[in-house]
Amino acid sequence: MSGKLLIKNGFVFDPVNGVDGEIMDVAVENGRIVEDVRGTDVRVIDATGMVVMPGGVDVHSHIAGSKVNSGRALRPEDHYRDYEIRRPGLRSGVGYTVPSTFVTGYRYARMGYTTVIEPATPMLKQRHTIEELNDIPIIDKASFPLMGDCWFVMEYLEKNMLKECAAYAAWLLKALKGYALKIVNPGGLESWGWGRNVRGLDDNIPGFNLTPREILRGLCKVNQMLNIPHPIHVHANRLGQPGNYQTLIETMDCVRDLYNGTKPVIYLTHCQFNSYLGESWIELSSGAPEVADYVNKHPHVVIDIGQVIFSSATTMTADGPFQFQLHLLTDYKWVNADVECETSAGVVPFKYKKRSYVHAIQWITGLELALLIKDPWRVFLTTDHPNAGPFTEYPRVVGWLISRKAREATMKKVNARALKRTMLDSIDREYNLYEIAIVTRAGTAGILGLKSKGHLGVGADADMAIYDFNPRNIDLSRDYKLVRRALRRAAYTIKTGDIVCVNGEIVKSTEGAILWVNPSVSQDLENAVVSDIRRRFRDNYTVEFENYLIDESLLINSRPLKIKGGV
Amino acid sequence: MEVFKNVLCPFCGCCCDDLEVEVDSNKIINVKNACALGRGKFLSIGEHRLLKPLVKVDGELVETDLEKAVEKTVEMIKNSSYPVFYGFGCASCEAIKLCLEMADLSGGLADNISVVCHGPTILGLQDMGIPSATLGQIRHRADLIVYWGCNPVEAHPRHTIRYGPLSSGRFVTGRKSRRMVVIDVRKTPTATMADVFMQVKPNSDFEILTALRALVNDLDLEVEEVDGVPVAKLEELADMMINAKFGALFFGLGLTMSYGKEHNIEAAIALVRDLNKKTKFVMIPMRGHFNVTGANEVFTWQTGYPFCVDFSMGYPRYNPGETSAVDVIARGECDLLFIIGADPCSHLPHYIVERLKNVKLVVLDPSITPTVKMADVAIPVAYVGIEASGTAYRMDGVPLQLRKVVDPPPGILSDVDVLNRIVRRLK
Amino acid sequence: MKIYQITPAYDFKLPIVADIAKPELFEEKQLSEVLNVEVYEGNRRKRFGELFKVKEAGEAEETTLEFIGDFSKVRRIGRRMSRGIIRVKGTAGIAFGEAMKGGRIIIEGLAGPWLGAKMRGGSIEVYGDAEGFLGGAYRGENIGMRGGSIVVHGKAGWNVGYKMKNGLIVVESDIGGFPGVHMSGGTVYVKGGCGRGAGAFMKNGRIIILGYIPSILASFSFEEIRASIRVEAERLKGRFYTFVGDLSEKGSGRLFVNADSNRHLSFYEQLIEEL
Ligand code: SF4
Ligand SMILES: [Zn+2]
Repeated sequence: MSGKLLIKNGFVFDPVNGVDGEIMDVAVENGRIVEDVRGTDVRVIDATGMVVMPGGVDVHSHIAGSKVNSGRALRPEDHYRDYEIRRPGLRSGVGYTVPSTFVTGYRYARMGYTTVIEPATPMLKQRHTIEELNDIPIIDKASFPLMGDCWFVMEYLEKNMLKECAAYAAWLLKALKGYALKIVNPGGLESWGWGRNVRGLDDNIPGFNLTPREILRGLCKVNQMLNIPHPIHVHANRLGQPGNYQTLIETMDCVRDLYNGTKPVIYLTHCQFNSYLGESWIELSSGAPEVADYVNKHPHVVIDIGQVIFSSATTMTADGPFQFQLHLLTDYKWVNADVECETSAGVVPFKYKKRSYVHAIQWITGLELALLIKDPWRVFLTTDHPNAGPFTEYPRVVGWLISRKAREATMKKVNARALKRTMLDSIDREYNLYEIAIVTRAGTAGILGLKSKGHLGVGADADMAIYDFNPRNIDLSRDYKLVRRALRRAAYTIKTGDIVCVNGEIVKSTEGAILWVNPSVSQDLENAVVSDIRRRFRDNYTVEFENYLIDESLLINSRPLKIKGGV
Repeated sequence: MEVFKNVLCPFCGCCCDDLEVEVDSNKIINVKNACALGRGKFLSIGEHRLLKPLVKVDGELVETDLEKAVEKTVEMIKNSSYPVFYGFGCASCEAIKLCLEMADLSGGLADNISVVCHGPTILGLQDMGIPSATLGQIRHRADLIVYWGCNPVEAHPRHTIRYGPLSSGRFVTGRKSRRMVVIDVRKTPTATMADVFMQVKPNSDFEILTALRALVNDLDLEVEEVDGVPVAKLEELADMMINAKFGALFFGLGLTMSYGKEHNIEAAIALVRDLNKKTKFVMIPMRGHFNVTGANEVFTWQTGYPFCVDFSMGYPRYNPGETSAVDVIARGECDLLFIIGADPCSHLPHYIVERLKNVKLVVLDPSITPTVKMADVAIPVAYVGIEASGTAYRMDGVPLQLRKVVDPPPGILSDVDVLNRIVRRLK
Repeated sequence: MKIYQITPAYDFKLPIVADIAKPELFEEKQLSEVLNVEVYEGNRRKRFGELFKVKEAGEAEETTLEFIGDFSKVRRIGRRMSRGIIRVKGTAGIAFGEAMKGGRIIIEGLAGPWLGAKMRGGSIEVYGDAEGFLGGAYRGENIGMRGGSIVVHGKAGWNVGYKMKNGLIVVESDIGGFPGVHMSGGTVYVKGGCGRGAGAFMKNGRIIILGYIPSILASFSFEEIRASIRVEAERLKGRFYTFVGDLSEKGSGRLFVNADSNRHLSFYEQLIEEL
């Protein structure tokens, strides 16, 4: 990684620095972008006629941890036909919707992605998540602990002990090497401990004197107090239920007053699953226009879409009650995995079919969100891998975004009634490459607070993707297939200055880093809170306090982010 | 004297992590909080120790040094056309990863001992899924606990106290507020603790589970008894299950290894799944060794499959029955067997052990087992969880840290160190 | 079309995966090319010709492969074959005829497990015994056999017709437990007896047991006594207890059991009055 690289003559897309397809050289030394490199040992990559972007940053993709592994174990049939043969220096593995760890790293790198976030990890099983992240080669990664329904959090919020709650959250991120606060179906997961769910933001959570709204607002404040780089990352209540777009908007709105005009305060993930209009499945329709309208008017909100791909998928969320409902609906096999004092989880295989009315509505809803939200810095491309489809299909989503023609080609095959009841067909917007670079790297890195990623300015990590197509010679809209093909197999992927992929083949496997945050808390407060937690730990958990912690030595390549501010 | 606290017990799948181990001049003198089985393991590590690497020369095992033993092993792996890597019940996840790398590099078959214990649980899961939870969830909430075909009092002695009927949780406190049911073919010591004991005939589990499930689904049965158990009694049990606020089913080899095998597990899963339409119910397999669960986890994330993984064609292939170590050995198909953390010569059926005579055998073990005595190469290793650290997974999938409390005997490395040396040379 | 005789070049010990060995290969390639096709023996890549001796042995209406000898270590022969004939004079290995679409397989000896797994069409006939998962699926998959027919003149193992959706399986002698487990269509017809668990989790399809069946699962409901059942062109006559299930799966499969071989089930006849 000390190698010097010069990427010459590419069309560079670097939205953070306002570079929109200009022909430029990019220089790399010691794993970072530099002004210029000199010497006889500079390796030159001729990127003439190619697109150069920062490495892709995926803000929400389930790639590691106990529920992902349950998905792998549950579905041998998912792997039989899709495998990667061992090659010198590389390991073998299996793919499709839930790939094995090595294959996950290789396939992301192959598409020019260099940073990926595992967005839901139960704290009690964090060691498992870290073990898997260690085994995912090449890419940098991070994980979000599931804090929403954690008993300690709920107890502090119940008693309105915000400062203590913040200190606890800070300690947890540090002790478990987490990156941001994740909230899934607030209150619903604790209810699922009794086989129940919450119906909205103001339901009382059984066993606690608390509502989902109070969890959301409490943790949102905690997040601000600690100055965590990423806003609270929320999977809203009532996911996957007809009519849930209202709950989504209420969720967004419940923290509106906490916005101080600087950065967004809430991140709502895979909103497609939460943007349904209609009272029942038969009447289901897209609530994307309403949601997009709210987002357009309210700068405190950021979302990702969770775009449906018509393929097989494996749904896996911490939303236990949702997963059970999905099992009842489909009769497919079902894993449930409740975690004491913290969360639940479920896994159900799925298949999205073009002819299905409901699935078509889902597909439409995701695209409408992406196309109707005007500011690309506030809507990101995800498939909530592997919930709405595998990450390997991102190029297909890009195709739909850059090309009305691509959308039309798919629309011809999807359920006609669904099209008639929605407005997708009337939307002409097509993303340009600058916008694509925002929704797949610049914007996602920005919202994660990864200052050295998502751009190619001097000092940035030398994570780059070079795609072999000439944006001046082709019409993106017409030649979307060519773009799609190029995005599937990067001409070059560069990770921390190493060339890891050439023409879609992995040429080098490296150890990516695990990123985590280390917020600052006053020593007194931390001591008080840790001793409180320690005292009550055995009452809550079946493991000892000391065995709950993750020592930094467990991380093969650890990259902590020290956070200023705090409590 | 030094006292190590929060030590994980490397014995059974309960993975109790609250042990206190007292060590004086590198000798364990006392173990607190453990049950007799766990204590016994800590206090007996000095017995029957394998202290030097052994290689077979002219049919006799002779002492050698580690370098030579490793070299010989590497040569055997390289020459093998179908090596099998097997064991991993008592190995750390770190060691298991290295074994998978060996298998991947050498085009071998890797399998773990779940193939002879909870393999059917995995197969059942692959057909049906599984509604499960961590053990603490049961401690806090379960007002009904069912043990089926398992005997924790003898096999997982602290299970009932730490996680089961005798534990005390946030919403349900202690034995009085829980009902306990035991279903088994004989009246075990666990059964004597139960509120309800239902004795069943051997190999009738599938039929009884099916009947219970039918009752839970409100079907009328057309028979008066199911394999000797009156339907009225089953109805009582079904009602108990439905009326529980939170039920938990623990099951063991009595279910996985009796007639029907994976179908028994499927029937149990289907029962628990259907119960979730009426109340909350979860199930957890009573995994025997302290890290079989970890073996399944590591196998799964590295290869996609929890056990029975065949790399001979350059990528992971999976078909238990075809690519299961025991079947491969029984059919006499492998030419090298690499064992770590298992003692197949004591545990596998005699006719299979006979087959091993035609197979080259490499064993990594801390002690002199019957398998070591048959080996072509035997390499001593440290006791993981006592003399070496690492990661293990509890029966409910909770990952925990194994701690080192004493040094291994001089010259003896951890399995991870030995495996690293082998893997480095295979690359 | 030609007849090829294929014999093992030596006694096999290691597993061999020869899924390319099917009539199409011999029609599409010269014999010399066939001999150079790569096949795995254990973890070693070998040439087909290193492992097998192949000779031409006359002409026939369809391309015919005659496997002569012990092929018990050789797996997946005839995978996805769609035409021609494979005849085994000896022992067949695991997953013989996997996913075959057409043509005929005749095994004049013993067959291994997963014979005709996920078969879609064509026919398989075994003169010896077959093992488990006859016409079955692999782990985690939803569907096993989808069409075609398998006839075993001897015995068969456990899980006959595992996850079967369509087609016909006939076994003339006894079989193991759990015939038709998870099946959703098609017919399993057993002239001998079977072990426990018949029809477990079945959603649809038919299981016919002429011999002894130890018990009927509680999730099956007695329907009627039938005097005849049709299997393809054949009409079976007798007294057949007919059960519907698996009701816990909301299934409507039928389990037909010969009354004469199963006196211990006669108590079901009392239900007729109640019906
Ligand atoms: S119950 Fe098991 S893990 Fe716990 S102390 Fe006893 S043997 Fe060790
Ligand atoms: Zn998600």
